[in-house]
Amino acid sequence: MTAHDWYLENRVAFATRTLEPRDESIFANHLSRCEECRAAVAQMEGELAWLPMGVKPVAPRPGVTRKLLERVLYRPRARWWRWAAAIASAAVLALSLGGWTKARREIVELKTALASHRGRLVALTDSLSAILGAERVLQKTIAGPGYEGGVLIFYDKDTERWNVVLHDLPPARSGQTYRLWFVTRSGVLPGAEVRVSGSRPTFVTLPTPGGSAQVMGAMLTVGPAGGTSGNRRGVELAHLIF
Amino acid sequence: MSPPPERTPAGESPAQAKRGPTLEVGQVLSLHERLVARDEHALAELIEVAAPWLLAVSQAMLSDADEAEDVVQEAFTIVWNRIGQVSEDPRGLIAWLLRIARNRAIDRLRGRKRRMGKVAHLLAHGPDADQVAQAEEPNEAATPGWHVHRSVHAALQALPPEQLIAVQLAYFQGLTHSELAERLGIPIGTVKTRLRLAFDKLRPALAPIKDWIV
Repeated sequence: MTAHDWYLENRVAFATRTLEPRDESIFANHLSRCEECRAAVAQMEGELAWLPMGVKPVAPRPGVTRKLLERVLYRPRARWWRWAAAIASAAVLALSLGGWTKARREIVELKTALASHRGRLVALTDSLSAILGAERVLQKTIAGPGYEGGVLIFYDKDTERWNVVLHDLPPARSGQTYRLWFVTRSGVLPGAEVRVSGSRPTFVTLPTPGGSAQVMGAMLTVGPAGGTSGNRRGVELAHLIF
Repeated sequence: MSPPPERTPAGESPAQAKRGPTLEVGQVLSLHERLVARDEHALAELIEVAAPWLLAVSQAMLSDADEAEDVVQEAFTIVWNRIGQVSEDPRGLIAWLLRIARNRAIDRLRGRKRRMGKVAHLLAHGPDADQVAQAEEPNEAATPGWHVHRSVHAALQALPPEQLIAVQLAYFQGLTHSELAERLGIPIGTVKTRLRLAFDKLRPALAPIKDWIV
């Protein structure tokens, strides 16, 4: 006798659900793997499909037929509404969560922007305080086609450096650059090339040319990049003398 | 214990008696299609026709009218929700309903503690006399499907008495092999043999029966 013989013997018992619950579970597990038993059980179920009608019919109690009809028809709808209510609640929760997440993200972004603005404000305040406290300050407006900007230069005694601000000037054309020059008693000395973005002010801080030259003024030019020979090159935009 | 022969209602022709008063052919053919089309009137007709048989199966198992009605409702709900969507029982709509109801009843029977009380009752007194067909009232012949019942009844009657009682207790009352062995005071191997022999006789006898609802 093989292990499979047990299943052969109990096929009809399984098909009629007369096996012990534990044996039924074992057989059901076997059925998922055995095509032969599955087909045999299906055939037996079909052949015995009408056996339940061996019992005499029972007349439904008064009102039972109507109650059955109502319950069958209305229960799925109630279930649908329950599902709908659950889905709606979930949707509201998801929307709320989405809104809360979005609001939280916006708050974080606003906080970051505020911190950035505060930083810039502190920097500007610091710059302004340096300008306001400076002994030598020169400013000149520079206007051209479609723009009106300017240059500001002042000396900071604490750091012993020259600070230059260029604002609202258009970027130099390709191959050209803005250049700052110092006017000293010994002549005009090159300062530094200055890149201008056009949208934001440009800050440059420079040491005193030659280490100790007596600065009498400054000039701003725009011309070919790389000119550091000491000659004034390009178009003079501003000439400032203390 | 074996059921007595069924009576043929007076005034019926042999053909009518064999087939029983079923729905008209047009109605019969259209009921399944109407159910698939979500016709609630068709569902009402199905309940009218099938409920007595489903209640009988469930009540024989559960010995509780309220619980039997719950089982029947579950069976109709499953069929109403799945008809046209799944591969249904090839034997037909009523066979499908009967199988669902019986399986649900067995599940409930095996899942409840009251089962012990029922088994104790069966062990003490035997099955209720009116649960498995023993006699028929003339007016029951008007029930749709009665001709199927007559065929099944005849097949059961053809079984030897010891096999019939085993089938009644196991199949219609829901007793397992071990409970049946205790009830009848026989070895469990004998129970299995009696049931296997009985079902081997019933299978060819019942296989030709067709559904009377399409």
